[in-house]
Amino acid sequence: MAKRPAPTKANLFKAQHELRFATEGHELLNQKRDVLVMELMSVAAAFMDAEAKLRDSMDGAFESFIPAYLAAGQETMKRVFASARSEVELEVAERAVMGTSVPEVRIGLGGEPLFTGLLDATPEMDAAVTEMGSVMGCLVEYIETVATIWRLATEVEKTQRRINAIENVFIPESRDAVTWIKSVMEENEREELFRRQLLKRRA
Amino acid sequence: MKIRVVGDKLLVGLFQLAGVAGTTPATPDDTAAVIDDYLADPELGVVLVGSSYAAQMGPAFRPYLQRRKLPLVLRVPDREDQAGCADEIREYLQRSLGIRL
Repeated sequence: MAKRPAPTKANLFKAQHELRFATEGHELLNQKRDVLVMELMSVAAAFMDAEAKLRDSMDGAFESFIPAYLAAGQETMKRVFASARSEVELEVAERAVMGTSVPEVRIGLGGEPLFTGLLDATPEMDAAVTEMGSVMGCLVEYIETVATIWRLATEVEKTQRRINAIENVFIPESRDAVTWIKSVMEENEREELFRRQLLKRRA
Repeated sequence: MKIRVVGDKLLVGLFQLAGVAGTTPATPDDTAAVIDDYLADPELGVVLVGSSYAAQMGPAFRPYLQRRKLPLVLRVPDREDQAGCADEIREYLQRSLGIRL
């Protein structure tokens, strides 16, 4: 049990103020958690869509790439990979949801698009390169939604821990302090009244 | 930030066409070692792991997937296994936050 404060009026006002503050904070944190959970659910739905789109686009890319890969052979594929565009870069910006920053991801495609050379170019390879363009678009959405889900989930957990701390520790302690100070002050008042009455009777 | 891919030759080859480099590990232990190496690289933002390779790692893959700081580790469908991250995320949200999708 927390140490009880001295039963004075100043401490009573302080404890009452803390109780009001904790109750308001509890209410606000509850609202914040509800908004975050709603946002989390909508991002989770977007994530499911993004995953389905990624799966479909990768299916299409594999359909084109596998025949091209098998027909070309190791040496040709090495040449093709050597001529592939320079590395893609992820660009991450931030936006805020209820004070929580969530990522906005973009992919910066580096260098020139793939050039396979006239001898290595097959329709399947060209189709695979084109399909990979749409895979990368879906991948951006996939990465962004997963990163957002983890950020929001972390924030929901943090908010829930704060709500629990206020609900189970801070509010009961403040309420206990207010009740205790009030009861001691009332007891003191009764003693004082009794003393006065006794003095009056003796006088 | 850069992206890396870990998976079979087809998956790595496919992503190489788009300018994403990668590695094909021989065993599940190798997969974990490759992912650990990538996670130690401060220039990386995302590590994509082929679904069949992630499945071979079994429960050892879950901590990677639930990693919340960059680089993120994501499971992507490959030729043998079409699963993504949905099951793990759904299970995590239900177990830890009580949110049912």
